[in-house]
Amino acid sequence: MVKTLSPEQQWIRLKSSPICRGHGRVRQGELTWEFDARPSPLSRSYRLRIRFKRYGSPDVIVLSPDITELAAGRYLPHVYSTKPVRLCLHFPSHDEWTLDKSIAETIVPWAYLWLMYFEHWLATGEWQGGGKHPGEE
Amino acid sequence: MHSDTQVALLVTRKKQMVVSLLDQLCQQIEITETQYQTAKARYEAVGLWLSGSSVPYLDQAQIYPQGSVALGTTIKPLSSNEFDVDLVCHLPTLLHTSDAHAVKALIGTRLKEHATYKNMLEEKQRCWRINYANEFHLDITPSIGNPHCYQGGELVPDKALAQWKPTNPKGYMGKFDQYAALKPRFYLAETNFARAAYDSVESLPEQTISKPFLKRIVQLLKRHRDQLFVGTTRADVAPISVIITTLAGWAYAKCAMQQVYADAFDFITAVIREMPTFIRYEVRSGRQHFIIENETTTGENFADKWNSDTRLATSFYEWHKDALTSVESLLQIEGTDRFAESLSSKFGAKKEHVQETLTGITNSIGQARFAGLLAVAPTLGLITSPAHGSVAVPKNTFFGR
Repeated sequence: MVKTLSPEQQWIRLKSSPICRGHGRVRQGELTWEFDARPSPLSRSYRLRIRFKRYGSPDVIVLSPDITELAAGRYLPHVYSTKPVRLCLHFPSHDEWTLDKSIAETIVPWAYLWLMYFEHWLATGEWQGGGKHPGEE
Repeated sequence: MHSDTQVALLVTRKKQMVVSLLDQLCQQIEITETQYQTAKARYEAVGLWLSGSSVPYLDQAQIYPQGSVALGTTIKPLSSNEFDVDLVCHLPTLLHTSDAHAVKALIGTRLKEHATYKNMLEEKQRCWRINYANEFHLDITPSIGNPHCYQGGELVPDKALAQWKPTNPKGYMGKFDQYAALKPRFYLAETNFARAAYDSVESLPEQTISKPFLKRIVQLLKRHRDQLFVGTTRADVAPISVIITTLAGWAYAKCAMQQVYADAFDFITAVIREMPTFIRYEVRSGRQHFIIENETTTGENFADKWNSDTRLATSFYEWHKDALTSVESLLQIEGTDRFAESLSSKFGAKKEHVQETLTGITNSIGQARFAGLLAVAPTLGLITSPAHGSVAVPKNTFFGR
């Protein structure tokens, strides 16, 4: 059986990762972690919050800046919701993220990638990051 | 890594990327090698046609480029696809006592004898223009020898064709190329800090600029000038290219020879900042007199008109201030989309060009991603090859609507 990582174990990995320096805690079985991510030197710095419960799927929210406002009425690509903005970083049935994987080594780098494509999309109107939409296999 | 070092690393890389964006902008608006070769073939043919005449004086005609084509500082006009190709038609055996009208007419008559040229010909105040629609136009200005110039200068008609005035296109080009050949020095490329910082993350790109810095700086400044003035009510007071080019050349030479800069961005802003210090003033009959001398001949003051129209000096200083601020403030921008906006609003970058540049950057990320090389480095974000201390970006599929 694959060993799953508990919220506490994920917390330790997030805390020691050089690319998501921030703060967070595990309370009542739920992990929250906040950090700043700048996908490229030309980009903004975004404040992100990750939430994760045991056996759940990690949630990534953009706390600031307000990216719905930045999108100025355009339909944000690859998000689960817009208030707050929750990022869709992986395809559930592809096993890209599984319970045994470190959030710090999957979800976090994917969030950087999403933010980079987001800024490109803001500038050009094109989403260059590929992906699937619900209903696609 | 210490946080000061991280900030410094971020700023350094950002400056490098900004310089690269500006470099690409200039590449997108300059004459292409193919266009240049076509233009060259065309003006050489014109030269042959002129010197093929049996008319005395004209049979000695030599045609060669001056201005931005000769200097390598071309930029496309904002609202047209046609490059200006400025040419000199030098008639070495004519004396300075010749009538400028007659000399110009000599060239015009010969061009009108040509079956093709006669239909493309347009008479301008001082020159003849041959229009190659949607490509470029050749502006042919007559010139004769200047016996008083020890630097081998020439004489060209003034605007009114009333008299000859000194100039020296070949000498000017030689001097400009000399300046452009000076290599600026950057200490960041040499210090341990940069080595250590970059070795741990990603190697320092060899070169951020694809042609001599001076030429790029001049192109950038001229483009900013066009963006600020063209199509406005003040288009007639825009600083002329030769003033921008001359001051940039001197400032460049001073900065390249006298100081070492952290990096290309600091060097570029220093050059722009220094430009006005090369404008000379004299008080003549109680009035301020501006002098920007052509150092390759005697008696050509590029700022001559400033002394009869004070608006010109004022607009130069306004333009200069705006140009410096526009470049410097690029560093304060955060957000790829904001860079795109600023390149368009301040430097007249076309939307499709900005898109092309950004897509180039994003594509290199995409290629690294699919090759499994993409990583996230502390401070710098996504990098296209893994480095010590970076975290690999595993394969993923963005989902959602």
